[in-house]
Amino acid sequence: MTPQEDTRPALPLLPLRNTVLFPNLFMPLSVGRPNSLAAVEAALTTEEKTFLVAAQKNGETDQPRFDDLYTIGVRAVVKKMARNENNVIEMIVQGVERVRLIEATSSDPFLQVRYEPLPLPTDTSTELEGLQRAVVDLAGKVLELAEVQVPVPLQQIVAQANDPLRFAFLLGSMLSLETAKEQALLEATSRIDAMRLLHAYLEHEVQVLEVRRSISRKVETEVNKQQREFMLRRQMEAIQQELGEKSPEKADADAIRRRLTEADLPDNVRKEAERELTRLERLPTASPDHQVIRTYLELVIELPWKKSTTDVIDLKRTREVLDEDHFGLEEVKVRILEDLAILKMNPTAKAPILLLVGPPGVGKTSLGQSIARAMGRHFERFSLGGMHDEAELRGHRRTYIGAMAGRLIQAVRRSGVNNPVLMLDEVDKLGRDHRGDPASALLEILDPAQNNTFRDNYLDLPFDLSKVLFVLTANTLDTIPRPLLDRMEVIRLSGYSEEEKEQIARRYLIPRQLAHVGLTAEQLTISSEALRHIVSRYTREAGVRELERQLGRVGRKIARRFAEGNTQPVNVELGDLLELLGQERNRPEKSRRELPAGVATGLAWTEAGGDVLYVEAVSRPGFPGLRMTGQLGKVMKESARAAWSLIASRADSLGIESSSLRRDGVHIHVPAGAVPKDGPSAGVALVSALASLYTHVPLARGVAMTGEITLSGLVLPVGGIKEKVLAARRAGIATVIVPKDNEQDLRDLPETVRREMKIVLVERIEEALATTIPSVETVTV
Amino acid sequence: MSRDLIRLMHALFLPGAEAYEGPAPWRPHADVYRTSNGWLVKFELAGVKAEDIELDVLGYTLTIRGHRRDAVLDAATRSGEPPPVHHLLEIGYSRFERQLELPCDLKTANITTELRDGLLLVRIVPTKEARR
Repeated sequence: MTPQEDTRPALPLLPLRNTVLFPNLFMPLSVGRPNSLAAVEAALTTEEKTFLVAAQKNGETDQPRFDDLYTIGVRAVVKKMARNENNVIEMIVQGVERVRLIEATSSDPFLQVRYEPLPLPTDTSTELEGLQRAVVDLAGKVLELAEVQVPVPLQQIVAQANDPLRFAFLLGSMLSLETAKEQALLEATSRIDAMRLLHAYLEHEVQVLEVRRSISRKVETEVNKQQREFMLRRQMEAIQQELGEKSPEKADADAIRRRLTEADLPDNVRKEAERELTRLERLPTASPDHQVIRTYLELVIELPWKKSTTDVIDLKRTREVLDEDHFGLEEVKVRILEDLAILKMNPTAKAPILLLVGPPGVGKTSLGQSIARAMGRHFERFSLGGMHDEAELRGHRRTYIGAMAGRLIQAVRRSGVNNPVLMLDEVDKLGRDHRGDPASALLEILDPAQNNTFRDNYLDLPFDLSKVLFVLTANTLDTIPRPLLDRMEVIRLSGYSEEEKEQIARRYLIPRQLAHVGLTAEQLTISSEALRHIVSRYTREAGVRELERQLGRVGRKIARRFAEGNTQPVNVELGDLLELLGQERNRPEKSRRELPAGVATGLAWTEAGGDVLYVEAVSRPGFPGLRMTGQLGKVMKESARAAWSLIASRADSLGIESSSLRRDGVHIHVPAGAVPKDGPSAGVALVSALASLYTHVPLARGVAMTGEITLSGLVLPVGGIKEKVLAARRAGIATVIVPKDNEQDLRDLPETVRREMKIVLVERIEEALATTIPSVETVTV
Repeated sequence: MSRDLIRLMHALFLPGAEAYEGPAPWRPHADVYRTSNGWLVKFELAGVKAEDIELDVLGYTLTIRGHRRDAVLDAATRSGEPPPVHHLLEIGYSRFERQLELPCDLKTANITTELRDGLLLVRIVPTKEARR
């Protein structure tokens, strides 16, 4: 121990973790460790408020001993201090001088250490000056790279720190250096050493910052655009909030969420909907997907997943409703009642799929409405006519732009319940092309075993259609694919007779038209004679649409009279019709007055009801063979050939010269030439015409005929008997030859018609010829 | 880097940052007035006894240095009681030093001092030639 050392008293020592205090620099410190607190408190009791500070070699050490400290530190003074509520001393200390620690004189409660001053070096050289400038440059670069807003230009700091070493300490404390590096700077034995160290540190720092900056630049340019948009949106939101408005997209999503919460959905559907909603909330309104998802969610929410009406199956009431809405159609009503009776007895029974077939205007659609009304169900309809795209029925996949749910799901949505009566019109007019076959899609929809999990392409969730009562309509069965037809209960609606039409007009059409034109039943009456005339002369149809239009015309003209001042009730008589409706539309094909030999009266069934057609045959002497014209179909042509062969085979018994058969050919024509005709039912007429031709005997007037023939002379049953008989009656023909096997179809005829008409039931062609050519003796084979 | 920035700010702008100028632990605050006939420099030296203040003049530079004792500690030491413990410390103690450069040659000026209410007032009246 030298006397010089003795002059310095031992001072309390404050160990520093992870940092180094430099001479002349200030540093904020928090002191919490009990040992350190004691050291600081001891220092505060002295006049100088001074103590020693040294860095710990290892920041983790909690109670460092003398050996755990760097031996070079500083003597510091407390500039300011305050205790906080946790008895932690917050203070600002300033380094005063560099010191070397000699030894600890005590270590409890704090380290008391003897020390000696270690004056800072004061060497100078040109190299030092150069280094200092390089360091200043580097430091400027660091500050720029780190984008630190320095309130005082670096040069000014440099100017203030006239001592290069102080400058080095200042910069060193500013850089995020490790404790060891800071300590090395503090321990520097010469200024130039300190500068070299600092220069190396700064170089390193510049490199790190440059790498960091180039990375952040790259990220920045990518993010910038999005960020800009995001910021603008945020600002908009803030403005809207300020104005008390919710952002439209948020409000929108909120509204949908509320509706979703309120909606009664099955779990799997809700889960899917929630997922879509989350997507919606994340999308900006401007995004094209936003609208797509929104539309989808609306559909999901509005679909009646669980909502249904309770069936009221009261057969008596049903009967009343059906009678109220429709006249006649006895068979149809009975069938409907039977089907509903089953639903009443066994509510879980699969609802039948009804197919109403009949000519236009006979009331198929309104019958569907009546069924719905009778059962207390909702009614929805859409037409399949002309539909040739499967997607129209089952929807488009949502990946397509402008995708929509199929017509079926839309109809269910409109109905608002999952058990409506759903009417699919014109199933016979389904198209099909390369885009798919809607009929095949219908197969799934109409299969009770499959349609409880019907999956619309757009909806992409299983929907239960099994409670829907499907009613389809068609004009003909011929164009409906077999497998489809197989699934349906076919109910035929045949055309109405003139009497039925009159009844319908009286009960439904006239009141409706009167209401439409604003007249009372007293103001306008139509005599039965006039009505019958309208039915027979101004309309020609199986249904009653044209009839209703004609009645509407009458109503309009009469209404005009009232509007112009007439006050007297009007009764429309037969004589008024020419004035009201103009010329008669059609003279009924009265049986031709004169039937030359070779002309027979046939009957045809058309989609518009029945029709009378004439089979004309002429002999072509010298031109053997059979010629046929009049747009005859293949079946009809074959039928004509069979008829010719039949006649040839019976030539003897009919008294026909077989030589003329060989010599002279026949031309068969069936007017009107523009209308295509087909089918086997003209067989009897063809045979009759040929027989008449060859025997030169005209056929009996007022006899119409229908029936298929075989070469052996059998007469086979045909369809559309009711329409055919009614057509014959319209034409003023009193006698109709009908195959015996069609006898039961005659029950469809109204009572009056049955009484009025003479129906000849035949089993063999000879019986028919006996009626048509009574003068010719025929021999039954 | 922000931590370092704070350090920098502390180093530059905390009171006493001027400590680069000298080795003393603290510097008294000063006001300088221009008076009708010269200068008035006011130093904030509360608690400092007149005998502990030393005023020095060199050319244009006025230097004041001295010593502020902690009277509370002194009293405790004298009475032999255990010293009270600091809870808050903002006043600088022990040695202080402050240099001010004034725009007149002080060597030829008339300087008078007065210690009143903890303030040291230094009146400087330059002579004719010093006022140029």
